[in-house]
Amino acid sequence: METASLIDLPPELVNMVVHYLMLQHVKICVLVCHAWKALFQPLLWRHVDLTLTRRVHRQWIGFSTILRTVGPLVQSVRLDGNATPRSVQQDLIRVFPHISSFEYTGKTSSSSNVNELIGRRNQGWRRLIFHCERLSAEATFELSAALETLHHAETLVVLRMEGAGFMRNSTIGHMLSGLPHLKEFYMLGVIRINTFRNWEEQWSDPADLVLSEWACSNLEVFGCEIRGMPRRDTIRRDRDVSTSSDVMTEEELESIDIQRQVCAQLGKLIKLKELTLRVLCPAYQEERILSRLGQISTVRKWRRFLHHRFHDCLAMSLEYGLDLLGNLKELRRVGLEDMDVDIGNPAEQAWVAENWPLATIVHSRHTEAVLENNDDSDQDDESDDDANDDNVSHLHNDKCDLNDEF
Amino acid sequence: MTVILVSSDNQDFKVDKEVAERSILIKNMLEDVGESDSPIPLPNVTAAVLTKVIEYCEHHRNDPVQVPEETDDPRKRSNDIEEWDMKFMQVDHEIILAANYLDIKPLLDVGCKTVANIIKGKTPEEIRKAFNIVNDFTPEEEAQIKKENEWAEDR
Repeated sequence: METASLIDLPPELVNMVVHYLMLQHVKICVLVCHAWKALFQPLLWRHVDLTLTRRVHRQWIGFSTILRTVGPLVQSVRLDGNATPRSVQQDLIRVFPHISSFEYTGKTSSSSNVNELIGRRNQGWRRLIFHCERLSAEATFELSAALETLHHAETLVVLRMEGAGFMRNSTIGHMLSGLPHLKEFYMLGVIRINTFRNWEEQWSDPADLVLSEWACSNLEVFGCEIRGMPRRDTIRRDRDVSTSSDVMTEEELESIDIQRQVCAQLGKLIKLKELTLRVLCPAYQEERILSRLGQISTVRKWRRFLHHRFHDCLAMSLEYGLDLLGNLKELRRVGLEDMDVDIGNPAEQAWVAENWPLATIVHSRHTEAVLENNDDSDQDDESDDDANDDNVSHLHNDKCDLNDEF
Repeated sequence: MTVILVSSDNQDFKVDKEVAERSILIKNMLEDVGESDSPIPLPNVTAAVLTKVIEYCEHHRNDPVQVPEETDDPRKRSNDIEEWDMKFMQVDHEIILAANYLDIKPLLDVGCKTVANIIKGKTPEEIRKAFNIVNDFTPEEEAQIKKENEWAEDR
């Protein structure tokens, strides 16, 4: 290299060079000359991790000053709802006017902040990631936020909500049919206390999921609690009907039909690598909170609710539409969390071996302990609290960044 | 079988087809035209650079065609340049531009790694020397940048 040629290279080639550099090298490059600074400074600040700065909490003032200078360079921010000062969180949009990727971790955040953030129209969001680990948290992502995402349909590639608020099936359906560029849709949420109180009104009609064709044909990661799916076994259990009769009622035929409609949509997502399905349950921690509050009657209601409703997930069986997922040849991981119909019999397993050659099926159980407790201790609400701790402490934090940058 | 490549300054280069096809651009062109003797114009590459690029392709004519990126993170590994390539890359950035234009991925990779290696481990002053750059910062500016970038953290 004989000349100051690097600045003559087009940006994509500079990026290729930077690919082989570490952060400390880029920091040095910025100090070479103005031209190099213009070239490298944006790369240095493309991503800001405001969770790491926790350890220098007292220096926040100095950092905020600097952020006002480099903020416009930032495209991607990660912050911690507990550690990042409120003032910074509230100021986010002003400090980082060109942000298109946002990752949030932590327990608390005000929904209105999140809505305001997602509601920005000046630039499209590319990645929105929320990890809200505890049920005691205020939900960070709710109905209105979900609908706001539709304004970013042209840009949104990753939408990942762990610990989202309650989503109606209609909302999920809107997102799946309205966000054509999605590569990740991961919407595993929780039910909040106030939602539970109104669950009957809020209950979702599974038909809402398939009102219109899903548009996100590029999906590689799909995680969802598909709710309110009636099945033959649950219908009969609810009605105390014997399960031995082979004659199906109209209601039962209808339930098979709707399940198969959902599976038919799922079956079109042929780029899918990761499929996670979960029942509506991880609400047991919620139950603990209610117990603490002494709302025994609510707890009882809650448990009845669990018993009857949490089985209403999508069924992974050939009868209910597993056979419609045969084109998902790219599947690597299939996570079935607390699913009670989950590719259990030999015929289904043989089907999976034949049709999903690359897939590993992962069964996780978070709920069994809770249900056992429910079965034998309706009169005792306080003492069995801690037995469930291990089962609920980490729901799941596998991250899958398809869009790593820098 | 040979093909004729024409550089931007109108020099003809007679090259084995197999060698020329290390360039995906040329390979695609040849496929599009089919059997034909007509020379291939390369308006973005000078004779000096094209000579070097052909030298590279000759040397690597028997390499297996590069498979798409392995899944493990190849990032930050730039110490795996062959010795021949290392000597070869003692040239300026035009090779990188040509490799990009001609779509010769291995050459592009070597070029970018070479630049990265020149930068690695050097002070700003050493980098300036290596790339023949004049320092146009005032000491105050330099101090300010250092202060700012202290906060930049690896992800």
